[in-house]
Amino acid sequence: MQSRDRYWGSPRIKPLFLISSLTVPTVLLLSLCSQAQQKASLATAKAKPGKAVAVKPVAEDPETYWTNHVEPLLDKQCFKCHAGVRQQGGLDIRSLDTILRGGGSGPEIVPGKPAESRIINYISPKADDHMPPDPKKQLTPEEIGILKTWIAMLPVPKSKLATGKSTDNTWVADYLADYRRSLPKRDVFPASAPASTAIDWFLQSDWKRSKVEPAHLSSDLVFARRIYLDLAGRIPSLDELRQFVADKSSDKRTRLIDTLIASDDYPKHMREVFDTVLMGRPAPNNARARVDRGWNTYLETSFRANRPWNEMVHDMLVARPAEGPTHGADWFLGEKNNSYQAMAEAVAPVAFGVQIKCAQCHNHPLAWEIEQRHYWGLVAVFNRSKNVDTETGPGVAESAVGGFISFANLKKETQPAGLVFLNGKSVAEKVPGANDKEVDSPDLYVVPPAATGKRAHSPAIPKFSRREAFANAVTHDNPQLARAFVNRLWADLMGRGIVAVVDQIDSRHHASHPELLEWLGHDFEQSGYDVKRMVRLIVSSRAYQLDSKPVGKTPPSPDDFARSLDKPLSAEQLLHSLWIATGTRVEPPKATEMEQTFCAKFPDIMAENYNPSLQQALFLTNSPMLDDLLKPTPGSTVTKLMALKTNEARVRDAFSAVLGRAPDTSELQQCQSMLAAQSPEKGARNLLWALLTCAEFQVNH
Amino acid sequence: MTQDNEPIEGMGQCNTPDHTIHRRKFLQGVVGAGAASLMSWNGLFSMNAFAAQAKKQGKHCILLWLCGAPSQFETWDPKPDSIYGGPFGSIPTKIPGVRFGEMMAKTATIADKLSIVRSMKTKQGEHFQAISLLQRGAPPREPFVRPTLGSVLAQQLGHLDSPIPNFILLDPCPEGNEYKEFKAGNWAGWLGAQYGPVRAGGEYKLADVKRLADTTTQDFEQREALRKFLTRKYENERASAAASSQNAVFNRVKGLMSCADLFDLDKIDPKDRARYGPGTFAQHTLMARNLVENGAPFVMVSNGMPWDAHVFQHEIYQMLVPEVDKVIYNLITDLEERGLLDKTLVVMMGEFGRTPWLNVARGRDHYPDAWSLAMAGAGIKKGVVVGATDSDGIDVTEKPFDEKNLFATIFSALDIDPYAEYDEADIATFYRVEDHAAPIKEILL
Repeated sequence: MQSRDRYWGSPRIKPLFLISSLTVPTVLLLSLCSQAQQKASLATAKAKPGKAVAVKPVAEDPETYWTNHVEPLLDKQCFKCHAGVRQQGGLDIRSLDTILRGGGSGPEIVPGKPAESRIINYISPKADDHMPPDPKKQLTPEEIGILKTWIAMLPVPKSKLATGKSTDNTWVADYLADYRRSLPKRDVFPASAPASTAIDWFLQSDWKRSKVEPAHLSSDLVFARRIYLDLAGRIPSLDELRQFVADKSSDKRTRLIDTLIASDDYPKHMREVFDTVLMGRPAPNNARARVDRGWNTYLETSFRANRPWNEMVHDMLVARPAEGPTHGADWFLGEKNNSYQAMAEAVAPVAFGVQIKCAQCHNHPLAWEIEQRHYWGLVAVFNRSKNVDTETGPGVAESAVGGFISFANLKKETQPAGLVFLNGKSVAEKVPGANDKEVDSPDLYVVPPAATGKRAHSPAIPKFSRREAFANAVTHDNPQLARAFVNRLWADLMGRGIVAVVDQIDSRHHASHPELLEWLGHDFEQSGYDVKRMVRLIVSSRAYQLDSKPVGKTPPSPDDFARSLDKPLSAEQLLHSLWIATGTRVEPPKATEMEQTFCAKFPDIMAENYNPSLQQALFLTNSPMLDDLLKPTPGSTVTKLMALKTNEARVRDAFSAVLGRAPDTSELQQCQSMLAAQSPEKGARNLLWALLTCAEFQVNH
Repeated sequence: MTQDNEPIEGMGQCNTPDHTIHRRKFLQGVVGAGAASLMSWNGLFSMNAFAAQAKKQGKHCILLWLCGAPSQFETWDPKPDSIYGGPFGSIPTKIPGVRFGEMMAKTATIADKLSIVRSMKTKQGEHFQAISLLQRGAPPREPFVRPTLGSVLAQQLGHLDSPIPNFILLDPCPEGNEYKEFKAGNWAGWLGAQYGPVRAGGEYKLADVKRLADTTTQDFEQREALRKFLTRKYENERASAAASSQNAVFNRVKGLMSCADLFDLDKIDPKDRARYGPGTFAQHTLMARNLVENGAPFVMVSNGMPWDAHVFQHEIYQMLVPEVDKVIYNLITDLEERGLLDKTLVVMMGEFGRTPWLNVARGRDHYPDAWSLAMAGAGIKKGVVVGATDSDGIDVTEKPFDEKNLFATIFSALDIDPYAEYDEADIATFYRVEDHAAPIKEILL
């Protein structure tokens, strides 16, 4: 089982079928044509036809030039027929890798030599067999120039390329390795420097390069609120806040971080986040089972004990509910109720950091490295599983036989699903011949299934377990696992992933700081997938602790990470913080009911787009649940405010209790003016409502 | 990020001095926390002159979104003589020489009020992509998200400070696989969250619309004014898009509360409810009519994906087609009776059509190669059939149209420039309809 790094584009097995270049049904085709292009790349004014455009030397390296200029051009002109859904002439044109392999006639380009490159001949206006086939949609001389420029930038291969209709692609891997070595080494973090300085080192190099001015460091008040929300899932109480501010020691932030990670709130908060990240919000009839089947407890126990992430993933994939630390992990598969496709689709983001849904019926239309056979290979990993009820409790059994499936592409060509995975690894297994009948027998098992009519003692475990083989393949020597986790954690803590779409770390979604992501992934792996360590690494960085207010006229782009980003509170963070701010104690079952309601009303965690809904605004405005927290019960914030003598005192205390700071002059004036027109009780309640529903409270900043 | 004394975008159609004065007064009332409002919100909109003015100029659109994709064979383009025609016959309609599927009996009697397109030819046969294609009018261009039809029309036909939401999605069935996924996605795209839909789904009423008993109007207005002030301050100090979205959404709460009854089916005449039929699709189409009557610019009615009959096509369509037949008939005749049909564009479609042949489970599968849709109302000719398919319904033989042609038609019918360029910041060059695709002239007035 050789490991390959899919992220950079690695050799892969040639497709088992080549699509005929003749009639192609047009039924399922993702059209990628569009008018819009990045204004930097394509000239909107077309040059006169026939005017040759010279190959200009460019400042960028070929990889950056590809991303900025070549890929958008090919996307517009060529991907429709030469990408994931459709490969005319067998040619996939989405990457250097696939271009070098060509479409069964050898490489489409000769690196370094545009004049000798087949693709240049095809796109010339005078070519016989010219591309694109539509005479109205030819490439302009500028566009042809871009391709020539790119080819010229590539290092010339050391060995002579096979010409003609050669299908020998073995040279491609070596060439790509040479190519990657030839790219300029940017941002190599010195190995001798302490790991704790890495994040800031990478970001500061980038800021210097882009001339971005980072925000100031956050104040104690701002930092305290943020770190409590991010590590404990709640705002600090007023006492906790005051204690922190009063502390004069120089390392108080580090010590607060340590205290919070060691607290009981940390595993609970991590469970709240990762339950939703791994399994989505539960359907109403599934919510109880996540508790009853031990899933929530499993997550909390694992995060509390800092169980290595790769072992946690192994637990979930193998799904054998032993007593002890792995109990409850099987619910990750169990909840999917024998839907193997649902399992495959849930596993791909965890094991590889990608969404695999788009590769069910055809190769992924955009990301060339995600193929249909990866989707079905992943389904095959799980399709010997079955939810069972046994004497030792329910679980997910696994058969020793069966589960040999085939899948069809859009042209109805079928192939058998082998155990091949997105990280380049595969698992060999004996496939029965067409006429062989597999016979199940107890000696194929470590724990055999029950005899018919009887109840098993515990869920069946076969000697050769596909789930276990897969779990081993992805939890060891699989950089994608580390990278996927780190990107998610970064998004959770920093407000945005290094790859912004957190579960699509594929060739079409570019990292804002690729070297940083790679370094973090590598560090995480080397540390033994130590979650607490990575959490600490991120929140201890200066970048994490920056203030949210921009410095200078224009705010920096979010992917600069040059200031702290808005992170709308999750349902759980919001509810727990509301309880603290309003000084109310809510016990089960009312507390559970409130949690369920809030999770239903505010379901998003790490959403790609923040879209507050009208329904959420209505809930905050008219729901009795929030209103109850504002009633003058003994010891509540409202009661305390009412007991104060002046409106100014009320405003100051309300700001402290809710926002953890003092009001400024204009705020004081506005609030006092409202209180003056209202009774003490109404005034206190309305003041608190406004503070609790305003952006500063609703958002972690 | 608007300042309070700047004009609100989208106010193009209401420039009477009357309206400008009232708006300014209203805004003064809201911003000054503690200052008494010069007139109440509800009063503003119950002022007869203003309300009448708003209604007169307004155009509306109702989209009957037949998600899952209805079969053209059993509805608009029957082929009873073909081996693929299925067991249902065809019937004559009010349009001479034009026949519908036999289960469309009531709609056949008002065919002369509709226009039918029988030559839709699109390229997307997978639900999620096709729903997106037919909702947005163009294929995706990552990372930009083109706004859906409803969001564009909400911006063009609606007013940002109108109490009634500009984009209403009546979708009581939360399920529907790919449609459910689509619903969870980004509807408003680059236009911004304030043009997303308000959804009534799952229940027949909107949740949390009634003010609590001990919250007075003064409580409501003054605390909301304070919340808005604090949020805008946060937005300005931090250039925060999150805060801006929040204010945009809270701005609409009051308006929605004031028209909450429009979302309550119990408030609709039971005779009307009986006439439309008992299903949720029927009831919500009735609600859509009611909403449009009260000024809603765009209402989309859907109900999961029942049309996606991969299994037992004919058995399932025996239930679905008579229902939609009754619904279309009642909606169109009601709108006409109320003098609303000329101002309301009704679009009836799914995301593609269904295959001529049956699969092994006796279902029709997806078929974007040749399918039908129907339109009626504002800007649309009456009694026109455009485009044709061959005798087996396999291919379009005359005048193929795609989603771009469709959207050009919809915008033209509503007097919206189809080829205007979007001038939002931070996006590439996009037009409402790309490639200058022609509208379907044959059905446009």
